[in-house]
Amino acid sequence: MFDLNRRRFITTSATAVAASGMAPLVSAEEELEHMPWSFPAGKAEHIIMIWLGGGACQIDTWDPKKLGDAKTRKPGSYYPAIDTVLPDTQVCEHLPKCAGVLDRFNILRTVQHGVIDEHAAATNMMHTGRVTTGTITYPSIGSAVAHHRGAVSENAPPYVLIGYPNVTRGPGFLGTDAGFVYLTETSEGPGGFSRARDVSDRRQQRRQQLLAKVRQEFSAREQSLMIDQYDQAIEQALRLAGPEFMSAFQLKKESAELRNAYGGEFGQRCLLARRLVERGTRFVEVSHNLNFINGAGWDTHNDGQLNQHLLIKELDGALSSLVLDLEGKSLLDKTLIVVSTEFGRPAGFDGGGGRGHHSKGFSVVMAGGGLQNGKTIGVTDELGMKVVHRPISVPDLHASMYYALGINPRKLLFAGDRPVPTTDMGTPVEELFV
Amino acid sequence: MNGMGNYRKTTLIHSLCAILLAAVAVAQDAVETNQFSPDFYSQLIESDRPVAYWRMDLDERGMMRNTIREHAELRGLLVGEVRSSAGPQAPTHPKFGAAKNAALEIPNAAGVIKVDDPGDDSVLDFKLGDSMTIEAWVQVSSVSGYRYLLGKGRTGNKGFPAENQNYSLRLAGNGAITFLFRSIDDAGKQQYHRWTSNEGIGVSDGWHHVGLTYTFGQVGSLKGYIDGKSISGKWDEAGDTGGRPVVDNDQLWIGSALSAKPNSTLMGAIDEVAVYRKALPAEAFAQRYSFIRNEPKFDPATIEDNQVLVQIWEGVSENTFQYRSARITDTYQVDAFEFFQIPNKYNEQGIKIDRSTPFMIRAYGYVTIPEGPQRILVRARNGARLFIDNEIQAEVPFFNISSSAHGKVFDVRRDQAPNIRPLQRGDKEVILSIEGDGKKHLLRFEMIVGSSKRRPETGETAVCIAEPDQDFRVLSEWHHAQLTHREWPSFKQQQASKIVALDRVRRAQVSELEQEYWKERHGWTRRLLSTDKPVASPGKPFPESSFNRIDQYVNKQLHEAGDKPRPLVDDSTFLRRLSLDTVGTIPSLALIQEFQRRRHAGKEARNWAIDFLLAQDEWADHWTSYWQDVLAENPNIINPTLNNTGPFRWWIYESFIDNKPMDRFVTELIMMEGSRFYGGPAGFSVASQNDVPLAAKAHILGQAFLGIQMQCARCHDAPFHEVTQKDLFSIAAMLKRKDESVPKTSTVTVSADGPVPNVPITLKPGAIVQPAWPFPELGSLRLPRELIRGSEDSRAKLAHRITDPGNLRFPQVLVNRLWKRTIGFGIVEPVEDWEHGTNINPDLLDYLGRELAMNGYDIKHIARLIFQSHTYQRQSIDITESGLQAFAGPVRRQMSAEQLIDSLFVASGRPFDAGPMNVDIDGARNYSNSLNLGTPKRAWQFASLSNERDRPSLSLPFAQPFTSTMQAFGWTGSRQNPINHRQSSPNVMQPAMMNNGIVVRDNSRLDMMSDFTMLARQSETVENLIAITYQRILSRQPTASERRLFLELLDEGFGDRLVSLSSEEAEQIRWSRRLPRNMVSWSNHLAARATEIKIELRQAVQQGAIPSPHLESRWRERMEDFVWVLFNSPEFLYIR
Repeated sequence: MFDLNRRRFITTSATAVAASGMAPLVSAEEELEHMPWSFPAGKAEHIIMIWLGGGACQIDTWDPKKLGDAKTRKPGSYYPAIDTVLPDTQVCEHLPKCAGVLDRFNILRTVQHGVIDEHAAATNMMHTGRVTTGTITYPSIGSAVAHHRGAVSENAPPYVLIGYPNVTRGPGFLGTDAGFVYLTETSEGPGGFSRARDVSDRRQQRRQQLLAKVRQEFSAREQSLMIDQYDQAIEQALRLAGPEFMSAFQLKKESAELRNAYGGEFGQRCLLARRLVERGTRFVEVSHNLNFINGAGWDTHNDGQLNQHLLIKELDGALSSLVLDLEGKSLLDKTLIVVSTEFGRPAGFDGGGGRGHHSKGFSVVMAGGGLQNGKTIGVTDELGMKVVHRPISVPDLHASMYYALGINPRKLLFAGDRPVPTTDMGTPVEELFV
Repeated sequence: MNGMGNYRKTTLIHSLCAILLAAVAVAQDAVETNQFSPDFYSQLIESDRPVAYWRMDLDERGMMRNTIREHAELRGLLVGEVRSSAGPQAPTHPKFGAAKNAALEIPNAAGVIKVDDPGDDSVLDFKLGDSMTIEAWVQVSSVSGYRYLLGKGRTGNKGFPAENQNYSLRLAGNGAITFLFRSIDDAGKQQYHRWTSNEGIGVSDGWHHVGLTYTFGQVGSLKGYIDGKSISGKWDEAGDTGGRPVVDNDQLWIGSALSAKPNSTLMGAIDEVAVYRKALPAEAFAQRYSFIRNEPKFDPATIEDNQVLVQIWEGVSENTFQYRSARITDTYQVDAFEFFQIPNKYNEQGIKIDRSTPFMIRAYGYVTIPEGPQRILVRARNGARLFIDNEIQAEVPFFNISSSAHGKVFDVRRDQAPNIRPLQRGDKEVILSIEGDGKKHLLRFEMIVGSSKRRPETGETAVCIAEPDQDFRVLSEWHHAQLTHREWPSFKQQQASKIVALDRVRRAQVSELEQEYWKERHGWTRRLLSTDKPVASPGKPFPESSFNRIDQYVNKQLHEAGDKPRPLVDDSTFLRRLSLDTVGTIPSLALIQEFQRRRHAGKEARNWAIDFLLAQDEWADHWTSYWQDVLAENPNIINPTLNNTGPFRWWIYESFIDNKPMDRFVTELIMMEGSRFYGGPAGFSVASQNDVPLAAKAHILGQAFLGIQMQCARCHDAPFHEVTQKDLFSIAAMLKRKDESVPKTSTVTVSADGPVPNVPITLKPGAIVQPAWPFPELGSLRLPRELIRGSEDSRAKLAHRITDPGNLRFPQVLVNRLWKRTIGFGIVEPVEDWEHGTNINPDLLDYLGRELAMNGYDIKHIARLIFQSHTYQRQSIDITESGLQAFAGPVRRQMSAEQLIDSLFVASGRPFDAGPMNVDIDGARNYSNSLNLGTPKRAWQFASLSNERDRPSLSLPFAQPFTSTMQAFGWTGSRQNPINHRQSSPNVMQPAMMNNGIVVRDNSRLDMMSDFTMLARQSETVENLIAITYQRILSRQPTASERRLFLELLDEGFGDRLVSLSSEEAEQIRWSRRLPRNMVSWSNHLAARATEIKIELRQAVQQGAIPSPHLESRWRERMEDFVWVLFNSPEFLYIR
């Protein structure tokens, strides 16, 4: 389709400039997109973003502090800390496998945002990097990456979500083109591409043959560029539903040993993410919030805290396997893994022995991606409640992700005629790149 | 009504359920016939020998007298705002007799009555081992914190310690009574002790009696009484004690304490306060209380034959039938004892408003109880009672599910009847056994609906009857619908649609004056505009391609552009296009056939079809989705966030059902009145998590009705528009009815090292903007003053500014939106931004705008003109790279997501099975946190399923396939901002959802509900089967080659396709799958079982409907492939 608004924007802006005597607008665009950083952008090709929905507790995972006690409501970590391969970094005792390979990681311990401690608003912030305004719906980082870079291969969709479709994960003003293909269960494959079980190969072939004839007759009768475009999209959909891409979902082709190392459903999702990356998907979001494990998932209020360690252990096994698996396939440098969450949790305990919400300083973890791995960035105070050194804003976090992919974090997107920088003027975290 | 008298006398019914009989004692409605003398009550009190009995009458000095003469010195001084008012008296409280009874009222919590303690060891002093009784009548208008009825000490008087509470009787937050005193031990250590009752008195519902007895130092001695009944409670502060109380000579105060601070002071009136130096027995309290509900007498003769008369009572209390001042606010009839849906309440404008909640439904009807042993089943969402011949027979307990999410998933019982529909989560049930006599009896059912915190919902409330071991059926003289999984859902739907029809009639009735007003206004508008200079005549180019005036303007422009009109499109394409543009779906087979019949009979058919389709209710379905987008209707079923609004979709829908004039529509929208959470335009006023909600609304209104784009003005003056930030905030202030200030987030930050913003900024954060109409250039006001309503109200003023006939921009923007929606390209594009847009046919726009304004802003009038035009009926065209210069024909369009979904179901004839749009199906949560959007029957009724928690137990597996498909086609359930153009360019997800999506798959499957199955079973020839299938899906006959293609596919095996099967066997297969639906709600979603259930449901959805066993499976699959191919042809998706 043609892009009426964008074209109008450019011509109209020229007249506006002439009329108002402002500085030429084009240079202002350039100025917005100008990147003032001397350090080089990354060369990664893919992002796998693991989402710990509910708000993972930083001091019970990647930023351990002195031990607290839920019973006496003494603030502090719930679990003892263990040493890692990095001399100055400890993590919680339920992350031993990651601790052993932490030199492939970067822990960003001082991510913060000012969004009120409410799941939807904070999830929106961590996905879009912005607050809601009522005038524009911002795209998620997955959609923006899909928009900027597309898929690596025409046989794979650019953006796959393994989890529930939420608006904050969606394309916002970028429209359906930048949307995700999603699945909620690794055994089922993605909606729209997995064939119904009662449609055999033979039936599918019959359907396609009949459809081809019907389509052919119709397009001979109806001359329309627009409908032709749809007709081409059918080809693309059939291609994606074909064996090349759909084989990604056949996890059974992996060795039992590897599948076991990855672990349960969440681990299988991570394994699937690797297989998607191999087939050319640019951005995969993997949700890890199977709430039946501890009731509440990562949103560990009250007794949700009791079995939090099961979630952490599951994360440990799957994440460490993913890192090593990608490394073994020489994909780790090309694939940035990001473990993100909407906010952290406070050091104090609630009346039920769990924890509330806390957004003034929490951990996001990266791995691989061709970054300067092995650095732990940022320092929080003795209870992990406040940032002591090196605060990282969400736009800066996102800028780092884009920059790792070689995307200008300030490149303009257009919501109708309105220019919107990809991140809210974020600056990449320099330590990750030099 | 003949013969009804006999039934009323019938008393042969015997309840066999002893427990239920015990409940009869609760009935309070028996009228007490005793006449009490005016001094009955005071004699009762005096006979128990209190030391103080304050009747709240005043002596000659204006002081409160103590009726007990020997302690006359215990008189009270009235301080602050204390005034005489009416106390409890007959007929409501018969034991007070017919005489006037005065009370004292502290209306504004700014007064107190002070009684001096006569000194050491006075009758007001209670020491260790002393027993006491305190009682009072009280009427409160509100309670929060602790409000004193009576207290000794803790007055704040000089010379006394601050914490010297000798004793006190107070009311706590929920109307509970509480006793507080201070203990002191031998070491001088002091402590408060507080007892609080578990239940409370009603607030704002008249007089209640409260009392307590206590013996200081005796653990377990405290007893509390409300309205004559003993009530339980607990020592919630420092526990029960054997310790001794603080005793001193501080005053006793009535109505307040703590220096008479307002938050300790009673809000209401008090009467008949008595203090005794002994503990009165429970019987004494029972004796004191009397209450007769002041209710209109009900005459059963007013119940129509075979009908159920339903009354709605507002003003009832929560969790009790002991309401006081309730009144009947609505009466209607139904034909069965089912209460699935309660009619809406409308104001005089016909706008849905909320009833005060809780309210009560009370239903009366005569029903035949068959002879022999019977079981009666009462299912109810909240506390309910069933009376037979005025005797209570069953009570259903009140709702008691906690909203905390940690609840259990109950296994459903299926043992009460062979095929019983399981109890829905949130409902409760009671079964009683009776012996029937084959005669009619008067049944009365009543239920309290909702609470101050919970949505007023009725679930599957109904009364059913069954013989032992048989299935239950609804109690009704009309219906025999069984409470089984087969019959109940369709019965529910059928009954609900009757209520919807009732709503419609009543909406029209109550708003008659409003309609008159608008008619008068429209008459004025027509007269005013008819004096204006008419739009320039277009002449008559291409007369052969001209049906009406629209074509003249269109053709003139075509002529000037050197283009020419496209020829008329064929009938079947026209009918399909028209149907999609009016009712939002492809034409039904019946419509196609009727159209053809007229055609073959040589009759005019196109104009017939236009009128027919414009008259269908589905017109409203088609337009609701449009205005949901444009007005950014954005309800979230769980926890309002991210700029959510209320679900004002129902108001939009009703507006289009009623074909409401558009100026009235806009006025109602701007006034934002009516129901906020249940579908009124007040829902538009909501913008959660937005720091200037009304600026967001101003932005929406500007685009929707003025074509003024103020998006940028949220934060700065628009760089390419005339619009300034001040304009936007001026309208926001008009909506707010006061000054609006610019928040920090609504500006562009200029940092020292950052880039210089190239947008003009004229307002600083914190700047104050006054309510004012910022667009005088849109025209001056022309309506006469007497037609202007609310001229002092800036919101009414804004509505008037937009809808006055002096503002022709408004009707033009509307007709342009309609034009774009039917022709595919606006006369002005973009439709929401006219400052920035180009007008390709100003005369046409001018003509249509005036035509709308002069015809009562009736959008259907313009739609009819467009559909009747040659322009609309032409062959379609593509938009070129440079847009359109003229309208040679309408523009090809892809179906909208809603059109696609709804059309799939029209083609297959299957019903939606999308489940409820509600994660709080039991209604346990606070109404402001969880919306119930109902069970969708059309695509616009969906909403975002986002729960931002990713918990499988909060997913909606039945709705998910719908929303996934719709999202691929440009729909979004989350409208944080207005949507004026859906992205419609083809993308890979669209054919993917058509190829393999669950919705298309289900509608191409020949299951037991599909019309394709029926067709396949009944067609006599393959040719006929192919032809009808083509008409059902593509609205046309197949071409010769298409016929050949599918003949080849379906001919083989056609003769042997039918599988012989008894209808019983078939029914058994059809209903063989019983899914654990309606078991998981927010209140139990953290249970592991909740997740398992949702996964099981999702797998069932993945598996899809059971294929018809009537068809041989290999042939059936080929037929399904045929249907699938037609759905997947691009022809299906495009409006040509």
